[in-house]
Amino acid sequence: MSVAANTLSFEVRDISGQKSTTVNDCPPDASISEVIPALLGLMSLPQNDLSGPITHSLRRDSDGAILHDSDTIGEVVKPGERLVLQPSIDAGSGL
Amino acid sequence: MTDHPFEYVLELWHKLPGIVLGRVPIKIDWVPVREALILDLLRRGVIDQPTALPSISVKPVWDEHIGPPAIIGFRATLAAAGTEASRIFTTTYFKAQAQQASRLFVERGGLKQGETFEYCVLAIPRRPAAQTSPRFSLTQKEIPLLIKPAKIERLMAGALLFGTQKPQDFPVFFHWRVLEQASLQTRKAGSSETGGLLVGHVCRDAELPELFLEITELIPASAQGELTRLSFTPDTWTDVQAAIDRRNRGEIWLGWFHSHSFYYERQHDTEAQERFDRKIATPFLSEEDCRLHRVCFPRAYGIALLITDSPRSGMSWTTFGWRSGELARRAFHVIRTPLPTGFEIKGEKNESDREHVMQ
Repeated sequence: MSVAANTLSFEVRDISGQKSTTVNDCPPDASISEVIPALLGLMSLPQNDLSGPITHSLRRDSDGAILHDSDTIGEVVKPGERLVLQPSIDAGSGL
Repeated sequence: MTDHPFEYVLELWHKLPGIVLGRVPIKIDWVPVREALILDLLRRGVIDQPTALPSISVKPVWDEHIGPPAIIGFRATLAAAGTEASRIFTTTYFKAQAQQASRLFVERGGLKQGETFEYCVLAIPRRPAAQTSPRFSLTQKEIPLLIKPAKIERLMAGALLFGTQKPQDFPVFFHWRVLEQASLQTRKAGSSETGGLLVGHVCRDAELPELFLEITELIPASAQGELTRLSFTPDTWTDVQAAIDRRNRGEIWLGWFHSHSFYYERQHDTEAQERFDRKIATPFLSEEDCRLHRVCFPRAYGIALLITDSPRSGMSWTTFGWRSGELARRAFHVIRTPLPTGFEIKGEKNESDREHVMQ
């Protein structure tokens, strides 16, 4: 993975490890909440349905840290690092 | 994913007296359609991997009686390796979205809770939409699917079938201890829901050809279980993946397990109240369950194991999987069961068509 001037690139996988996306030339001031919707679109993951929104977060693979929506990429991601996109989601009988 | 010049609208109407309730634009989730076609090609041995494939093409199938823009379904096609997988999906593909859309009309007062409604689907030429570009670019990298060569006949010799197998479903084999562990975990959770991840191998029998799953282990999830809800948080996924990594057996995510426990009933119902109207706990996937399956297990081989536990009906094992892009109840096999000595195949395989005749 290369680092363009003042930008960085990193890899994001889905939770099953079967889809991978590289985020290229990302400005360091881009927030996690700016990156996630673009990833969901490319990975064809639903962002919400008529039942409500599906919350996703990014986890750093190296130490398992969950990155907060307000964190900026420059603060929490190193060039070439691998992140995992994870949903917070409920199952249940709904009775 | 798909290059498709239409957008879709649901039109709902009250069944009696046939009053149109209104129209709701919907966004079609093409992933289950694409995955169904990919699985077709994999099972037929046309492709070795679900990677480097083109977009699917989708064409509306117009309603001959009403005419455009009403459709009775759509034909989706995926071309690969000089051939193609092509299938018609009927408007039942939109059923879940129609049910969700009906709530809008319940809220507005046009429809009462529990009243029957009907829907039709309209395909309307897409209007160009303004899109904002992100400040970075994204490149998708396709990860090869780990497919293990195996002989289905060897597993089938000691397998027990649960449910009625449909020819369009690929076989799924559970190791007995997976079901044993899931059942024990369900009972230990009492009235709360519990769950976990199913891991194992996607296998290919090249001679047939056929694809099948061998589910080798259940990784219990540290999900937050409540009476009728089980929350899978980022911590849950982290813990589960760490457990798989520790096992280091080349297993991949194949599906998930969760329980629906009805033991809460015992505290509130008395036999006298229900003596002549016995309730039966029916296995089902809730809307939330379907949503979880779609988000976490979009591949067409993703399996959901549900254990339903009820003081009135006992414990049951049910599996659900993708069939033509929709989640449906399906059969499964159990292997490595603690069967008595002597439970073995005697005689040679009968090559006659008798099995087909019996179907």
